[in-house]
Amino acid sequence: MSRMKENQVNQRKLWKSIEHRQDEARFNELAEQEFMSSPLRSEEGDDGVARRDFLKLMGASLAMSATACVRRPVQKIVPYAKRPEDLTIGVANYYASSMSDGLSGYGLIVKTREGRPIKLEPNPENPASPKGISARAQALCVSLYDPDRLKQPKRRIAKGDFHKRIWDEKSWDKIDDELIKLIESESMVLLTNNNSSPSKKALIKDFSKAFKMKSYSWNPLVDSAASEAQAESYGSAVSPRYRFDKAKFILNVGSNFLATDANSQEYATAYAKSRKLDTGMSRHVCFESLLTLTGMNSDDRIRVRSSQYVDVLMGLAHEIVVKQGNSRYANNSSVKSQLEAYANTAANLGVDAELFSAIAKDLWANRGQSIVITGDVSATTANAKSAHIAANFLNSILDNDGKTVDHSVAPHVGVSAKQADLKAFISELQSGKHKLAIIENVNAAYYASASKFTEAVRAFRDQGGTVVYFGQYHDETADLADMILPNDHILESWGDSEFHEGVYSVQQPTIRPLHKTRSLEQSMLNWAYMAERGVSRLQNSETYHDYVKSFWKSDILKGRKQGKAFEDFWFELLQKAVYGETDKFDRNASARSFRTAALSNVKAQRNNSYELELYTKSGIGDGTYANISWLQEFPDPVSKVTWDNYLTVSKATADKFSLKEEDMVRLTANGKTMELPVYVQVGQHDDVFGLALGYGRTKGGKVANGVGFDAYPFVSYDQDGNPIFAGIEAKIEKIAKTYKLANTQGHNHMLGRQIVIGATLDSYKKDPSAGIHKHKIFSAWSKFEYPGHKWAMSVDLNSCIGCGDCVVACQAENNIPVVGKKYVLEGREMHWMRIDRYYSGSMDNPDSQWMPVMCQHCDNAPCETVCPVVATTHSEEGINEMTYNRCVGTRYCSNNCPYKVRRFNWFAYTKGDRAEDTPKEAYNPRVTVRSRGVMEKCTFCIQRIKDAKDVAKNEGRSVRDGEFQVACEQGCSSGAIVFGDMNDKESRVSKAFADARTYSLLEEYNAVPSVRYMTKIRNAKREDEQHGGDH
Amino acid sequence: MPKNNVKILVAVGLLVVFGGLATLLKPPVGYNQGYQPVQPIPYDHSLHAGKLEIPCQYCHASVGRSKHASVPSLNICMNCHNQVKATSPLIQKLREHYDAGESIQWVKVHMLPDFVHFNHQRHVQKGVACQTCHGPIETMKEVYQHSDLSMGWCVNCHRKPENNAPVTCSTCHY
Repeated sequence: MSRMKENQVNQRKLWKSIEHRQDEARFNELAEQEFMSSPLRSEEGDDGVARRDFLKLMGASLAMSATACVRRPVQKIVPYAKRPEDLTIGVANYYASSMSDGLSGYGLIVKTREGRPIKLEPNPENPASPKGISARAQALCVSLYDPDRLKQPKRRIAKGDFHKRIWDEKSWDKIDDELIKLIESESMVLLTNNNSSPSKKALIKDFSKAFKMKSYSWNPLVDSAASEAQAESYGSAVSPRYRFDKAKFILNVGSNFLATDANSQEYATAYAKSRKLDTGMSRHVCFESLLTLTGMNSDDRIRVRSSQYVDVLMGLAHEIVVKQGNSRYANNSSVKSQLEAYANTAANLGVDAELFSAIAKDLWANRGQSIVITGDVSATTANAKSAHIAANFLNSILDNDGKTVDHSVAPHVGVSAKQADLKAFISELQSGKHKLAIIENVNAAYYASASKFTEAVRAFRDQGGTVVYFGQYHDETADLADMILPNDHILESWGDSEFHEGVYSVQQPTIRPLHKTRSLEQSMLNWAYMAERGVSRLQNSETYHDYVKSFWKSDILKGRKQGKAFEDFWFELLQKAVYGETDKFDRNASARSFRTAALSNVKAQRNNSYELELYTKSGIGDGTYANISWLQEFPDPVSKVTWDNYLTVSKATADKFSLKEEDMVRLTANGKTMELPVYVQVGQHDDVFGLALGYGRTKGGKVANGVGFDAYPFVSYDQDGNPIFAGIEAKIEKIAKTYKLANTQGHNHMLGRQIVIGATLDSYKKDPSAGIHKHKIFSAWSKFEYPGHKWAMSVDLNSCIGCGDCVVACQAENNIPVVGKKYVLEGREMHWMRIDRYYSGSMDNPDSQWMPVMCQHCDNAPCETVCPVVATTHSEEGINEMTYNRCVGTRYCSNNCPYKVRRFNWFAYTKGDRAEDTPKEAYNPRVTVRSRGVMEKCTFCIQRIKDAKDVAKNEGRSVRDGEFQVACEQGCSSGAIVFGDMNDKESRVSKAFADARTYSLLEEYNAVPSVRYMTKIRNAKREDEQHGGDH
Repeated sequence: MPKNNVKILVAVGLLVVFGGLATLLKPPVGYNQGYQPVQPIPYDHSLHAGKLEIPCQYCHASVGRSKHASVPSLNICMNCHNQVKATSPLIQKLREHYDAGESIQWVKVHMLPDFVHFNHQRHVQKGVACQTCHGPIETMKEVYQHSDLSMGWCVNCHRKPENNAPVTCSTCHY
């Protein structure tokens, strides 16, 4: 392939960015320099105090302080008046729970300290995703303390008063008094976000029966095309569960199943399992238009437009059924004639015909053990349903249905949201039948700004209708309403969910509502009680908690013998939060028969112009949580850009329009025009542009407002109300403006030879240590002795999918501050972990590799020897310690660190005086909050080690392997990170270190890190990137 | 050099000189040894712990389980004072607070900086007596800080071989 030729021409085989590959001066300059921005500048900071002036003032105030103040300030101790029974001051409590963020559901362990939830962790009892929860789910904990949350009900003032005040704060009683008259007598319509809670579904049903209410459920990103295609292909609209753990061959056509799928956490765990070398590694081939996280993990990646996904899938079906004459459809003339239109797919798409037919052969050879998957926001073209039908057809051809594609234990059975519901809701508003509209947690004025929603709500109000909005923020939709009613946070309210069929989970509150909030559920119960209407559980449940319990008793437990009283059952349930046929979870349903009639609806779309593909980032998603600063500063796994969205353009197209990063273009699509910054994304198809949704909020809160650009106006809707996110005809022109993007990938560069090591499966089979170059090292150091524990970490690059969930887990555990875009631009981001991204091969379609890098806790640590004040030292358990109070901020340690893992607090990012600062309530009291002028870095979660040792010592034993996890390990759904004691020969980390694939980062420096990596193996034909051997 | 800067330099220089002198003449800055603030209720350790011999852990319940010894919550006080001395004006004050669900704001005596992680549990589990650090607490009418709680004072004990205690920095600082 051309890739190989290019490799030989190109001297630099592994590169982090385009500048790096092209050896641009700017990149080398940054790499040589330890700190991107010098403190020796004429002015600094928002306060405008120049450094030298600052030093003068400091000197004076130091002298002043020395002359006064002997006593420390008086502090108070305020014990509880009545201490809750199960609370010990200084010891964390953990509660099993669950939650749903729009479409995805997670099992949770909520960690609380003195009654405050401070961290969300995965619930190992949840059979679907026992390991890891997404970055977004973890960050939801901080949103509980968000100062921008609604704190009290608000009522619109009829005409605006003298001061042009629009909103009046009201008590819940006043609101209820006003609403109950409408509810009792008038017809109403409800729009909720996706609702996967069986209790809430029952409640809405009970309420609808008692009153005149119609309800709809909508989420901007719900993949209705997938379920409709299931209905057409097999008769019922389910979302099947893909069993990646059983797959030997994965054909992914534009599905970003590792990052943005509703079920990504489960898939990431299962995918990593299928990539394990000891059980025979699966092969993953990907066709996609944008470069996605999932595509970057694939073995072979082929660039096509989103609008060509149908062609790819049908072309492969043609290849298998017609050309190769395989499968039960080989003699079916009607199917064959329908496939005939796709006979020349490879040529039409410009794909290597040999490769295309080899993929078809591989698929057939792995029938029953392969997966064909499509569907994502960026795959939602006008003919997305056709692509789904084609994928279903391929799965049926290959007998995957019933084996690797399971429709019985379907995930998100609970998904109630339908794209068509928004359209239906709008026409209900327009019908004039209703007097009251309730919208709950759906910011449709923002998500569906291209639809008639806003218009319809305004017209509804003009005709005398009342609009009530339940939400957590005064957002774009709230602004349209008559009443804005504050909803409880997930951590403040009861609930339940059915993430997978037959597997139920309960959501329990871990804190009382912080503000005067009340959920829609509780409000419905109150209204039913006031109106004295409805079935008994609706009228007589005092709280939603009572309702959930009575629903579980009467419905979920119906016909199931518990052998104990319900209260006992409920008490036990709250310990685990998961109930149901978890044993059934591994079983598969039988195959369904594919309705070939569905094939006649398959239509291909052929564009010749440039296409716009809208996509979602795994952090920000649809934009609901854009006010969480952690997510804004979370580097996008693909581009590594923080605090922005941008138009992604392939390298060749950028050259054609003479664009480089930070240039701006005017994008025209769907009759709308917008000026956007450009990000040159290698690996993207030349004829497409990508733009992330979820940015450009105008009423999202102090953090969210004004970050990035709103892409929702580019969405259009077909006649059924289904959105079109991709395959949108577009054109761009360069404009004479520039825009700074805060990209972290050029930062903290390790100048070294052997950094990320990969090999092909073939060379791995010949030599398990393929690619690792061993050095003969002469050491000037005497060896450290580690008599007790020696903590160490192994990172398997072959399991790591680069999602970055560990980065947020680390941030939550270790009080890592958010610095904001301004300082990320200056290279001052504080994340203790970074996921380095490396490309190799051509810029058109490179291979990608990941490397999570945190403090390596070296035995011969270069940082320790240069600290003039002994603030960083070595512990007898192999940890490189950081003593914040000794640190005077010389930054020598960071300068001398070959791995660039130390972070300096240039300013006090934790004072809480900026919108992006983490709220103080969310800090972990076990970890010191660092102040200005102090160096910090990964501590191996020393507080967790200490807590585990405390438990062990109290029980008179030593710490067991796996007894505790460090935060990044716990946040990792693919199980790439393993932490333990390498002095214990039986520990998982010792076993990993004994593996031939293990190597030390920059071994030639003889720093002897305690963190070691395992090589990345690619199941594809390539020239090996590194040379092995030794010298 | 502009005139202004010279003035500032001279001012700073003078301040440093005088400041230095003042510092030299004063006791060490920062250690609170002997600190004995007035408490909202003059709780008497010499009565409770000394004369009545109530075990320390009865009130400081979490000292063996947590890093914090914890000042008792009012419900612990009321366990006895529901009956005992219920008419005393100070107990009445306690009772009012308890009934209102409002805590009493005690003045903190032993203050370690935020970057020091001292763990009561470890010391108590090892069998270190409370008096080792807190002094003759059972004789104190009002609590004062007995030891200087400086790092040197901690380390002096930790490095005695018979104590077998760790002395790495991360023992306390992380």
